[in-house]
Amino acid sequence: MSDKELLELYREEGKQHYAFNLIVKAYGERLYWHLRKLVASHDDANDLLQNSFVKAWDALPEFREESRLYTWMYRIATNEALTFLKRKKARAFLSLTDYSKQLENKLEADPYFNGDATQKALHKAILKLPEKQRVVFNMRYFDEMKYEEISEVLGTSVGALKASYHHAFQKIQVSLQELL
Amino acid sequence: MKQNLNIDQPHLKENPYTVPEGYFSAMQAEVSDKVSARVQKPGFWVLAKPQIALVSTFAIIFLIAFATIKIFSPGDESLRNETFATGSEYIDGHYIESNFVDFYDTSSDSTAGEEQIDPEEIVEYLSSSTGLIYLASLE
Repeated sequence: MSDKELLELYREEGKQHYAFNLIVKAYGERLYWHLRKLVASHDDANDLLQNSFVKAWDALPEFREESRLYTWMYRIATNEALTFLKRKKARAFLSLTDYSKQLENKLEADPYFNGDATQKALHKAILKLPEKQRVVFNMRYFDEMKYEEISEVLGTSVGALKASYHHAFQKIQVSLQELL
Repeated sequence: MKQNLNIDQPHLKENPYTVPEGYFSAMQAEVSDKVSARVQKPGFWVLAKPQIALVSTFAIIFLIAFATIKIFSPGDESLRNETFATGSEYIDGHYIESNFVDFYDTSSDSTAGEEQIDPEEIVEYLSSSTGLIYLASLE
């Protein structure tokens, strides 16, 4: 079912919940993987995903189709993740710990990580990136989104995104050389 | 020795993360439960749309009425000029005898040319009307 059909169904009297369940079904998995790569932990990704859907449900009556539903959902989830990471980082700063080190440790101990050593090194390197660079890198590298689409989600210019991806790419190359 | 790794390798782009068995169906059910418990507030546009439509309708009716009055009002300068032009055509063509300006000639309404009343006639009139004098003395 297309975004348009889902929204038409949502606007029919008494079909809101049914239509929203279809939206969750359509985008749940994709958004989960997006969040999981940003925060590493399954539990955190799950909490963020559920919060994102609740926020989407609350905001859906205001959705005026200026952007695509998928982009809009992606934006909500990304904002949730960025807010979460900032809060965690601030807490880690107050307790004089390194949050990216905490994320690396989480990844190391994660029972739901099946990658090989190189993949683990790559994901550790990604977790060392500043949050926004991590978002841009993941969207481009793993989700293979066009810069225009990323720009729509993050509200950043294509030029700035290209520069951000380039910096992230360089940093990861350096990190991988250290880790391997 | 440090090795130079090319991160564009396809296998690095594969997703190494996994989830517990049946996670996605459980997540969908959990989200559905959470959402069912929430009352969805109607959006701003849903509330504002009928009111904006009502105000717009009134504004359009007002504009139409205003324009109609403005166009058909005799005070309109363009219409008055048009009347003058039409009137002068009739006068020039001798279809009517009187000049258009005659209608606006106020000299005939003036009392300047009327005969003045003599003050003695007034006194005489008042003295003959004793009733009026009596009424005036009561004040």
